[in-house]
Amino acid sequence: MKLRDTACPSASMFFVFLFSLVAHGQQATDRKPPRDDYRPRRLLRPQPPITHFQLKSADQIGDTLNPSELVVGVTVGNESRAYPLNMLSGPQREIINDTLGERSIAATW
Amino acid sequence: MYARDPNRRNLTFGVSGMLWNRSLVMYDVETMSHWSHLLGEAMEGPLRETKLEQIPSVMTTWESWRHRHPKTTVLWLPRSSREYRREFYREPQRFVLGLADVNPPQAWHFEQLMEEPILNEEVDGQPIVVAFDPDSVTARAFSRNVRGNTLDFERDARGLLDRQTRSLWDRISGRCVEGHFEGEKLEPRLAIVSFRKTWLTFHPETRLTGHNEQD
Repeated sequence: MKLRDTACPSASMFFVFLFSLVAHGQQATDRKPPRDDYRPRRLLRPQPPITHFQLKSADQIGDTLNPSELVVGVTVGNESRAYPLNMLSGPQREIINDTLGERSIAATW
Repeated sequence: MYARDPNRRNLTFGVSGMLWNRSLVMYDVETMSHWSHLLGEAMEGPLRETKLEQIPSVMTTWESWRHRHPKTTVLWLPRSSREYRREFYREPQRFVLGLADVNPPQAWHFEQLMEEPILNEEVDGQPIVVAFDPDSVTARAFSRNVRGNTLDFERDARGLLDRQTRSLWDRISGRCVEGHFEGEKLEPRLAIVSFRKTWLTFHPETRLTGHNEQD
């Protein structure tokens, strides 16, 4: 799939578009190491960083998360945190500026 | 998953709205440098060529994570998607478990891991075990070095069994739950689950283990 040249009209359309690129559109045509060829394409304006969000305990979650939902789990020091992928997807959401076990981390996958 | 404190300076990251090689470009508020999401490296701006330290993480089901980490906290935001469940891996041939901090980079096909859920490997001179849990579709890589011993693992209904001491290890957390090494933990390697083609775009020199070359 080729990158389209036209901008998408809305954020939700953009998300569908972005996902189609990431999930279905890969074409590993270029087998050179990519570092020397940094040519990004802008598809959306920069999104403000996420620094505030709610945390819940496993007990508070109860059954609001389906057991089969995918999470990215991290442990730093004695602290563990799960990031449900369904809350960490979409162009506004892909990076969470967090602190875990006294370490500043960027939660992303 | 990255530490965001390169050179002991805290950075705040956002989505730049740009894509490069079909992968996200991040920016940091403090210097406005551009960072490749997949490489964890600044490609442009004042911090160019700076690398973020990657932090071991595991992609697994909520059930499996909660079971192993009862005291876990959970990020809670309104859902932006509903599709990421175990069924996400419906087409396992599209996914790999990739390891970038070896030379050359190494990746294992999910399809192969489904057939052989425990692989004792020697990668770039380093003993590594790749463990796959079909129930939660969780793939991880751990060092096979434990307290000066190099262990070999075999499959057991309850997890991993090392041939040297017959200790039993959890294949997702890497923790020894029974036997000689009880209480020890296998050191996780920085392996990530990725789309095969995306991985190969960023790490074209990868040694890919497994046979299926179709998409």
